[in-house]
Amino acid sequence: MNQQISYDVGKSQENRWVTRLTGMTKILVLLSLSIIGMVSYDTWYLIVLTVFAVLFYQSAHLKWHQVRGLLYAIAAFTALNLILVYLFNPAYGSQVYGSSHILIGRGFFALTWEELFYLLNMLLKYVFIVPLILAFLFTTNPSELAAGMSRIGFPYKISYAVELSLRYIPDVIRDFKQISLAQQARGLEMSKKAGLWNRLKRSTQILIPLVFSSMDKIEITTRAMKLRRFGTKQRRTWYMTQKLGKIDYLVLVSTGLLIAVGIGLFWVDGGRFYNPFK
Amino acid sequence: MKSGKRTKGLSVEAVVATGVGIAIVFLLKRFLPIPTGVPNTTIDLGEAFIAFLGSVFGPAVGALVAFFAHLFNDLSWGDPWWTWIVADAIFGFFIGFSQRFLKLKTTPLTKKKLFQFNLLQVIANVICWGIIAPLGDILVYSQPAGKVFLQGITATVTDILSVGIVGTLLISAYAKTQTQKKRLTKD
Repeated sequence: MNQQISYDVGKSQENRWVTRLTGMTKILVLLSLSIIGMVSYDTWYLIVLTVFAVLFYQSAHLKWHQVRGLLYAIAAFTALNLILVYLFNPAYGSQVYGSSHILIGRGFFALTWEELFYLLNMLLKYVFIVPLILAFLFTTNPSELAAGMSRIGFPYKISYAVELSLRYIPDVIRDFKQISLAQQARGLEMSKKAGLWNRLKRSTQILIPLVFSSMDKIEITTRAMKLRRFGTKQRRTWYMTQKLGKIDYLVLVSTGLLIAVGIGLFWVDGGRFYNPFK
Repeated sequence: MKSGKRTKGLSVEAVVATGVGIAIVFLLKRFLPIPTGVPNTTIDLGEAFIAFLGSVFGPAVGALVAFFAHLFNDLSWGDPWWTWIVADAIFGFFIGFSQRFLKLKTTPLTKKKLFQFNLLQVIANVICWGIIAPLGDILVYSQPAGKVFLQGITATVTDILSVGIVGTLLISAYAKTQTQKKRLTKD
């Protein structure tokens, strides 16, 4: 809860090329890379994507204390998922690659090279985009995002809703803290000792005031926007629209090439998987 | 979606509700998960709030809020998992149809309606978390079936609890504050 609430881009991130990228470029890069990375199982390709993402991370010059907590959480989450994948079906790698070279052990939990290779691919799929997202999280002004979304072709009402939400997150966090403090002043048990049922009850006692304050907010903002005749025109312009610079074109073209390579690899590999065991 | 004659698509109210809704659901998903005791499973109060917003503002708002709140939450952890994001959006869409029979703003809330709402949420949760999300993981991410169905079934159970308890409470609390129009009938 002690997250930094302001959206200002940090001092050490100013003037980096990743900060200068427009919101539209960032959305396009993020969407296309995460989707091709989701589909492709070509190990070399995933490694190339990871390196590409690390370039952005390098440029953002983030401090270790800024990303430490997140990285630990991601590591724990990824490890847990990989262990689950292994425990539930240790032979899955052999099924995928159609062969079985036993490395150690026997019976159900026999560890094969195929399974290890499959888990390596899985690991890459979990982490390849993390550096890119971390870089964008710390270098993007939310208003650029809405302008970028509408430029890509999202209906402007949806872009506007997303912009509103980013504007409201700090407000909502503040409201939430106030309500929670007020409820504690009235004697609400906030420690972690409470049981599951009490925790549910407790969070409902915070949620209900939050619901009413947010419904008020919705009504007031709706009236204000109606008075300003929001939504009467087919199109809308954005104050934060930026011109694409050279660096944007460079990044967009290289992303485009990467995507094309990724799609091409489906033919080269004869499917989504790169199989070194054939 | 009740939209005025002049506005096409989403009404102004729906746009604002989507914006504020995403912010709140993101907050709940990010900062207020309740651990159940089973490792890596939490009761997600965000789903309860999605259900509430859907029941007041309809399927479009439900789907958009669920999609973007889930996306932002995943991004804030550094890892978007598209199959579950899409499954969440479909859940928001389904649960939004409760607006049609709940009619919270105009008619009083009855036990029958609450029962219908809970029936709908159970069906929607089972379809989205028990079927769509795991199938997506198998087809798109090529994960073994046992693991994804374990995660899917856990999510189904915790979300049914979350929506069933907290979501129902939110809806009844909100319904009590609405002035019912039936008192103002025309002669």
